[in-house]
Amino acid sequence: MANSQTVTSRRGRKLSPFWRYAPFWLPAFVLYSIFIVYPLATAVGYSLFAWDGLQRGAFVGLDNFVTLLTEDPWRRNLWRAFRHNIAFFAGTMLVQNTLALFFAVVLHSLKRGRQFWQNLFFMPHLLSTVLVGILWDLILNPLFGPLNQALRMLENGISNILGVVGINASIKLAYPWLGLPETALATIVVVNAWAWLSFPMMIFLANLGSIPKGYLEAATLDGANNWQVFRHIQLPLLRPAITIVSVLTFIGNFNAFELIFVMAGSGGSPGGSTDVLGTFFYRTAFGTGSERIAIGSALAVLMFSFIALTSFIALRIFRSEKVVYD
Amino acid sequence: MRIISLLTALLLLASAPAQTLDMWSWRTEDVEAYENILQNYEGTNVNFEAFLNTEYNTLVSTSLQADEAADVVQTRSYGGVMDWIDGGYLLPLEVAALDNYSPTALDAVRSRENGQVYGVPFAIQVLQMYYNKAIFAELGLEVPTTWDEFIAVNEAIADAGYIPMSLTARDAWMLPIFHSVIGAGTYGGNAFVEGILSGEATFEDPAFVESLQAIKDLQPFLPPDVTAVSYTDSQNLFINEFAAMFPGGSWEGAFFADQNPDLDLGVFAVPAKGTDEQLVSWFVDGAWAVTANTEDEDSALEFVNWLGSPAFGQLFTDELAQISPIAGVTPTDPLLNDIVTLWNEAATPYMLLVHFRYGTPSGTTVIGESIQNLFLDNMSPAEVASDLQAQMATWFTPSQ
Repeated sequence: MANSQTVTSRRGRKLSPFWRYAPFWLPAFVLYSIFIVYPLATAVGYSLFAWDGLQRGAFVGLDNFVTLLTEDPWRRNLWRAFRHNIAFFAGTMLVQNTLALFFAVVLHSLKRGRQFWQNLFFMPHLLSTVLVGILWDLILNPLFGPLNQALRMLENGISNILGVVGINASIKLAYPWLGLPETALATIVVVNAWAWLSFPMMIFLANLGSIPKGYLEAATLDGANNWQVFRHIQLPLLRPAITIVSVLTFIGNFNAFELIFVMAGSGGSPGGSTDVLGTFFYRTAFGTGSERIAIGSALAVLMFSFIALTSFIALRIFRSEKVVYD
Repeated sequence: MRIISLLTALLLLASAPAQTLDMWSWRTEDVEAYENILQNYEGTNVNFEAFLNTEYNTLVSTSLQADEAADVVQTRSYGGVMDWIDGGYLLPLEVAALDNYSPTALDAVRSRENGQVYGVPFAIQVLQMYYNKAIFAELGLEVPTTWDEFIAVNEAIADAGYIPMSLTARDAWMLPIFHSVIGAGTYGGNAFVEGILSGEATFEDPAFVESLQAIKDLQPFLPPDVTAVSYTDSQNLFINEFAAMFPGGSWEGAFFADQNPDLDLGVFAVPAKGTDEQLVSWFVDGAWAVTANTEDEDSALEFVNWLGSPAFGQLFTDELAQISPIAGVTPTDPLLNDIVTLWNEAATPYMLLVHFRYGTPSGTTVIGESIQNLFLDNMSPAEVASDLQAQMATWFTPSQ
C-alpha cells in the first residue's frame, strides 16, 4: 500500500486509498472478524486444551489432533468421512457441473425463451436445503414414493414387452435408494445437483455471454460445426469459470451437512455409508462426555485448514489462466 | 413522556420483592398444563417459562456459567446432565421427596463422583411392544408368552398379508430401542447390566450376541427394505393398520391415538429368546433441579420437594398423559396404566442409554449404525458385539 497512489485529505494530511476506502471495507471487515475469524481462533484455542465437560482443563498441545488421527474409533470415522467427501465432490463435479455446462451451452444458443428456461432452472435454488431434502425424501420413499411406483410400472411394462417377444426376464429398477449403502450417497449427489445446478450454470452462461461473437462467427465461417466451436473456442475460454466453479464446489462439498443430515441423519444412514466430515463433526461436537469439545474443535480446525489450503493451492495454480479479450 | 413511563415500569419490575421462583423448561407445548398444575402449589409463587427444546441446553449452560439461571431448571438425565452436576452448577438434594423414588430412578441424576442426587425425576419412558388388538382378534391371535409363540404370531400375521412389526432402520436411533424391546431378556436383563458395570461381563458374551441374533432372526417380519423405511413411515404403517405390531417407547401411544382414534391398542413385553422372560426396558426422561445460583435456596428446595411428591406426580400424569416415576401415582389413561403395570411386573434399565451415554461415541449411536449393517448383511451379530465392546472401551471403565 505504501507505494500506491495517495490522495490529500481536506486537512492536508495524506490518505492512502487503503484508509480512504475504509468506510466501504471496514463494516464487512468488522463483521467478518467477529463472526468468522474470532470463532475460528477460539476453535483453534479449544483444540489445544483438555476438556472436562464445560470446563477447560490443562493445555495439551496437539494431543487432541493425535487422538483424532491415530486412535479408533476417531481415526476410522475420520477417514471414512473423508473418503465420502471425496466421492461427494467427484460425483458433484461429474453430475452437477457437467450438466450445468451442457445446459449453459444449450441455453446460450437459444434464440428465444432463454430467460424462461433460466428462471425454471433457477427455481430449486429458491428452496431451502431442508425443504429439498424432505421433498426428495417423499419422492424417494420406498413404500409410497412416486419414483419407485413409476419404476415398478416400467418394470412391468418392460417384462410384458419382453414376454411378448418370448423372453422371460424380471427387470428390477425400483430400489430403496436411500436405504442401500451402494446407492445412498449417489442418490444424495443427484438430489444435491438438482438443487444447485443453476448456480454453476449461471456462471457459465455469464462467461459464455462475454465471449466476443466474432470468435464464434469466424470459426463458423471457417466451417467449424457446433461441437468444434464448443470444444476449441468456448471450452478453453471458460477455463477461469470452470476453475472458480470447481473450487466453490470443493468448498461446498467438503462443508456438506444439511442435505445429508436431513436425508440420512447425523449418523450417515444406512450403516454410515453417507457419513461425511460435517455429520461426523456434528456427532462429535454435540455428543456427550469430555471428548466432545476437544476432539470436536480439533476436527473443525483440521477441516478448515484442509479446505483453505487446498482451495488456495488450486487458485494459485489456475490463476495464470486469466482470459483477456483485447 | 412515554419513555419516562417505560422507565418507571422497568424500575417497578426490577424492585419487585424476590418472592417469586423462576422455573425453566424445554416443554414449550406444555406451558398451559404446567400453569394449571402450579396453581395447586401453596408455597412461593412460581414463574414457569419454556424455551425451544433444541436451544434449551445451550441457554441453560450459558446462564449457569453466568450465575443467571432460574432457581429451578428442568434437566436431562444420565450423561445429558453430568456437565451441570460435575460443574457444581446444581445443588445436591437431601429433600424428603427422594424417598418417593426407587434408587434406580435416582441414578438418572446421581453424581458418579460423590453419589449424591441432584434432581427429582419427573417422567420415565418405558419400551415395549404395541399391538393392534383388532388385527390380533381378526386372526384369532393371543398375546405371546414364549419366544416360539412370538415367532408363530409373527408368521400368522405375515401369512395374512400384514407387516408383522413396523420398524425404521433408516433412523438409527430407533434400533437400540428395538434391540432393548426384543433382546433385554435374552442378554439377561439386570444381571447382565450389573456384570457389564462391574467388568465381569462384556458385550462379547454369548448372551449379548444372542440378543443381536434375535433381532436378525426377526428381519423377515419387518417392513421390506427396512433400512430405507423412515421413522415417520414406520409410524404410518402402524397407524394405518398395515402393520400389526410396533416396538416403541411409551411416548408413542398418545400420538398413535391422536392420528387414528379408532386404533385399539394394547401392549406386551416380548418373551426373550431362550428364557421366555418378559421384560420391558425403561429410563428416566429428565428431572427438576435447584441451581447453585438461586437467591432463595429454602423456597427453591421446598418447591422441588413438592415436585417430587405424589400430589405433583398425579397432577403431572393427569394433565400431560406421561408416566411419573413417583411411588403411588396411577395414570388415568388406560394404555399408560397397562404400560405401568408391565413396568411394575418386570423392568430393566434401557442399558445403552442409561449407562453408555457418558462419553463419545455413545453406546446408542454405535449400536444404531451397527444394527443397520446387521440388517444389510454387512456385519454378523458377533461383529456388532465386538465393535460395541471396542468402542465403549475407549471411554468406559468398569468399576471393579
